[in-house]
Amino acid sequence: MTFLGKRKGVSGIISGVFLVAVAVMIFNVLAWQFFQADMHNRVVLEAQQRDWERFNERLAIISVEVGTVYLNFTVKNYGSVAAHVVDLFIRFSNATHQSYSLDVWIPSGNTTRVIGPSKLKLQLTDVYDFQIGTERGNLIAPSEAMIINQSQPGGNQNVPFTLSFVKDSFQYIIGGETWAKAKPAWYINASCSDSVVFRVNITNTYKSNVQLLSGCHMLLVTPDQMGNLNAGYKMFIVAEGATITGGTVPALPAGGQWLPAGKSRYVYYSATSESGTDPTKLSSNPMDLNYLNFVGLFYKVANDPNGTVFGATVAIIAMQIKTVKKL
Amino acid sequence: MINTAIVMGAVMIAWAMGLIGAYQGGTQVQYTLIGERAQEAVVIEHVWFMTGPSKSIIVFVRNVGAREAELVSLYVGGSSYTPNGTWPYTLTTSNKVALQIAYNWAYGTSYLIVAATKRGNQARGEWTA
Repeated sequence: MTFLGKRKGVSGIISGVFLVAVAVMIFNVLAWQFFQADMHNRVVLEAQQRDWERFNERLAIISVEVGTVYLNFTVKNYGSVAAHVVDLFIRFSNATHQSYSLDVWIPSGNTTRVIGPSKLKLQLTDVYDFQIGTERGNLIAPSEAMIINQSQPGGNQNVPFTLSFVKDSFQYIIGGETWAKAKPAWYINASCSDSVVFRVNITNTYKSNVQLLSGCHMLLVTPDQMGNLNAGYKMFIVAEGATITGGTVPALPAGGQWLPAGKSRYVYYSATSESGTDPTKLSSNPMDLNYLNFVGLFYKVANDPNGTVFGATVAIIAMQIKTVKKL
Repeated sequence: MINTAIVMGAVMIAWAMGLIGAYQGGTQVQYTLIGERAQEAVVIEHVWFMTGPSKSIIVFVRNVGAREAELVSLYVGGSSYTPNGTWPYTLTTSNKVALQIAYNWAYGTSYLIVAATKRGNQARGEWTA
C-alpha cells in the first residue's frame, strides 16, 4: 500500500485505468457486433446466391422420342448455371401418376439426351405427360400437352409463297370497273359473259426478290357428279393493277412482275393466253358451280447464278361462281 | 476514499460487463435464428391431384436450402391439413417429401398450397386440378 500511500496523482491513474477498461469494453462490443453482422451478411449473400441460381436455371425439353420402350427425351440447358435433374414426374392419360429419381447433370449451354429409368416401361398405347424437377426446385415440362407414344408423321416443308385469308386477299372486278370497286372472289355472283380480272395477294417467303414469269396462271377446275375434274377457266398473269378497258387487259411486261423478299403483292390474272391481252369471260350460260382454284407460279429467284425457272402451286382456293343472264 | 472509489469502479465495471454479456447473448440468439432462417429454403415442386374412391392431393416439397427444414404446417385453399405419415416432418437438404392429404378437389379449380416450416419460411404455389 506504499503506492496508495503516496496520494499525489493517484486519482488520475485510477480514472485512467477505468477509462481504458471502458474503452476496451466498448471496442469489444463494437468488434463483436461487426463480426456478427459480417457473418449474417455472408449467410444472406449465400441465400441470395442460391435464389439467383434457382431463377437463372433454365432448361427446355426440346424433343420427346415416341414409339420407344423407355422414356427418351432431349433437354437443353440454356441458362447460366449447370443443372442437376433429380426428379421425373409422369402422368398417364388414365390419371395414373408415377414419380422416379433421376441423376443427370447438364452443364450450361449443353444439350443432353435423357433416358428414363428402366423401371418405367412404356407401351405403344400410352398417352402421357411428364415433368422433370431439378435439385434447385424448378420444374420443367415439354411443350406438348400430352405425348402419344406412337410414331406419327411430323415432317414439314418450306413453301416459296403463301396466301392470306382476309377480306382483300382474293378479289375480282368485271370489265369497266376499277379496283376501288373490287369484291371478294371466293363467291362470285355475276352476269353471263362478263369479262373478269382476278387478283390474289401472295407473300414471297424467299429472302430474295422473286421474278414472276409470263407462264403464271390461275386454273379453275370443277368436279362433275362423277367426281371428274373439268377445266373451267384458265387465266394467265397480266400487268399489275390491270383493269379491262376497251375489251382488253394490259399484258404482263416483258420483265415480268417482281415480288420483293418477304413482302406481299397482288398478282393479277385475266389473259386467255400467255402474255395475251384478251380478258377471260365468264360462262355465257347461267351456271352455279364450285371450283378448285390452283394458282400456278413460274418464277426466278434474284441473284440465282443458274437462273433456274421454278414452278410452284401456291394453294388451292375453293370458289363458287354463279352466272346469271344479264337483265 | 480512494479505496472506495476503486471498489465502486470495479463494481461498475462488473455490472457493465454483465449487462453487455446479456445483450450479446440475446443478440447472438437473434442472429443465429435469422441466419438459420436465411439458410432454410423449401419449394413446392409438384402437386398431384389423385382420383380414386377418395380424392386426395399429394404435395411434393423439396428442400433447396443449406439447412434441414422442419415442415410443420400444410395449407390447401386457406385451411390447415395434417398429411399422412410422420408429421411434423424434418426434410434434409436436397431431398423431397411427398405429403398426402385427403381432399375433395374439383376439376379445373385452382388451389393455393402453402407448406410452412418451424422457422417461419413458406413454400407456396397455386396449382390447378
